[in-house]
Amino acid sequence: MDNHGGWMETAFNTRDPVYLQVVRLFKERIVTGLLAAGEAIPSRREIASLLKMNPNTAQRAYKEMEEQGLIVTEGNSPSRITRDEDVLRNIRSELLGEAVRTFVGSIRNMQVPLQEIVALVQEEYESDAQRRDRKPGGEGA
Amino acid sequence: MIRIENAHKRYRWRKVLDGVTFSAEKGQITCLVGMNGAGKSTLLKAIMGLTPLSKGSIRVDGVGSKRELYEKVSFIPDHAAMPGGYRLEDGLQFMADYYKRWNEARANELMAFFRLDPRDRVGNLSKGTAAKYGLVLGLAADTEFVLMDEPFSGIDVFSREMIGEVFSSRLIEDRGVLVTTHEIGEIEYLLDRAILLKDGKVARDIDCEQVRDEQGKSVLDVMREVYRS
Amino acid sequence: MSHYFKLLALEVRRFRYILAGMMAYALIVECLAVAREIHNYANRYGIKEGTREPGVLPQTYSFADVIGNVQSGFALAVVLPLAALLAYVLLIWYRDWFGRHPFAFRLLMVPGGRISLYFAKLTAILLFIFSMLAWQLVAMAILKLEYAVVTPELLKESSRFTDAMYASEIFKLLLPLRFTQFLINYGMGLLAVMLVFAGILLERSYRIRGIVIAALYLALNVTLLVLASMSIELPLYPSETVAVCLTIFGLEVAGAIWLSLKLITGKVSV
Repeated sequence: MDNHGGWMETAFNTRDPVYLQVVRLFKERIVTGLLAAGEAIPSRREIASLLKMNPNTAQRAYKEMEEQGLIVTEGNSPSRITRDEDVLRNIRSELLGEAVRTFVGSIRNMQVPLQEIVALVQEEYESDAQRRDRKPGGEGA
Repeated sequence: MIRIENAHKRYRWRKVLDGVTFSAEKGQITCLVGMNGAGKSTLLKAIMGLTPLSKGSIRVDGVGSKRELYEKVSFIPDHAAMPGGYRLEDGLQFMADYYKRWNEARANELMAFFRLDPRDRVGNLSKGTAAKYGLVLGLAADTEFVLMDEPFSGIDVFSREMIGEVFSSRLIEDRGVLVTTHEIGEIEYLLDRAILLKDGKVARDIDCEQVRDEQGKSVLDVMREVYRS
Repeated sequence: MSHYFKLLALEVRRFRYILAGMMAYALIVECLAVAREIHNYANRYGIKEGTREPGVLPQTYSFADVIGNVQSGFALAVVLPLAALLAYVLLIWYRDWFGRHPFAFRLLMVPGGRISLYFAKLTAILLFIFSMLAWQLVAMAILKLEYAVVTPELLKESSRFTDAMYASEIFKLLLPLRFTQFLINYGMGLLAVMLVFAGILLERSYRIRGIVIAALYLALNVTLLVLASMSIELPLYPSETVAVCLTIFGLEVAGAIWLSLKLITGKVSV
């Protein structure tokens, strides 16, 4: 794994529970394709040391992800991202929904008509895509 | 579990500890937070029998005597605690001579990880390097508990990063860690529990994730509440 | 027990250069003093090749006579190492408490208790003292060799080694001929070291208050010793006087050990 798979660039915020931030990080990586369905993920200890966090918190994050069906652990083999299409679809819509809710929440008070917003979103979306075409290799998200 | 009950300590007229009670569990990283002079180091020293309490009791896994203490708990003070004329390898030999649970392979591994030269002399170490060497001496023995006094204070940022990595490594796993600090900064994510000392008493004893979960506060937020009021 | 020997070896290792330096110093000073004495004596009789006045027969000058006449040289050779050793009775503790990386932390945390630490430091001091004493005997033999080489044939006269030794006032003090006197000298020395150790541990435990307590403690012990020695003037049989003195001595030794161990295991602070 070059650059430790990009894990070490992670920064947490201090006010949200760290284990939930880890869960969220995994979800983002699944949705953006950095983690594929069925892919083996680092052990709890490895992720703790990659993310420079408490091993107990890593443990708790993995437990949470297991409960949400995000990862599966069979016997002694390393945990893997689930292959369950339903779960993966749910994650995508969950993150998307969250992002949209945040966006709507942040412009709510501006009282802009929906059409204008949709037009602006469309415009921004297209120019962003163009920018990324010009800069190949530039990472999204 | 290290259990401290009703600890009192006075230096001449000043009450440094005025009835401190808390415990540090095995498998957890517990942090004693407090301003300078709040008695954090005194508590660690008292656990190790390096200074007596005026009143109170200290038990390690239910045992109050010092018989097995030093094979069970290792203490990493904020200096190397070795003669200045010693080479680093002499210090390692000292530990190997006296500690049954000394793990030489791990000591060498740690020396390599911190890029320490065994031929260097203790007296010539910078503060950061001395702190790393202290960690080697304290972590290479297979003790169940590790006490660290201000491992990050007065140390350059890269040394701090390296020392921080130790906390999330297997060197710490399954042990009980009790660490003191006056600035929470970089170790916020590493902690299971934080115990805030103020005016010689425990002002708050918190489970860090629980506080974030239930109150949406960081440890620093809680510190602000305690120390700025 | 193994920790005691390891700690003792550690204390010896930490003092070895100073000890070797003191030995070298004492030997050099004594050699120089003897050489100068013989040289001056020979000069007085004009025994430098060819300048000797005819008709005057010089008195011979034996090794014992030489030693008897270099008292100040010997004093110089012995006083400095002695002072260093006395200072080290304090330093053997304090050097562990001071500096950037106080070693006391480590020593007090050695598994298996601190009793070995106390006795290691005590025996280390005794070992240094007796090493210096033994060295003084070796030095004497070396000086005799020097005498044989340096003295002009005319002045040579054989003398017994012991006569030479006891021509020196300092030797009389360091190595008394009577065994009981030897026991008294070194017994008192041992007790003094123990009392000072107890005083140091009092200070390390209670700091400023400890100094006051230590002063009182030392004063009490010295007073008791003086009183014991005054029992000679009481109408007692000699054996009774000895018994009184031995009892006081024994009590003081036991008291110093008890107090020191109590302090080092439970009260001392870093």
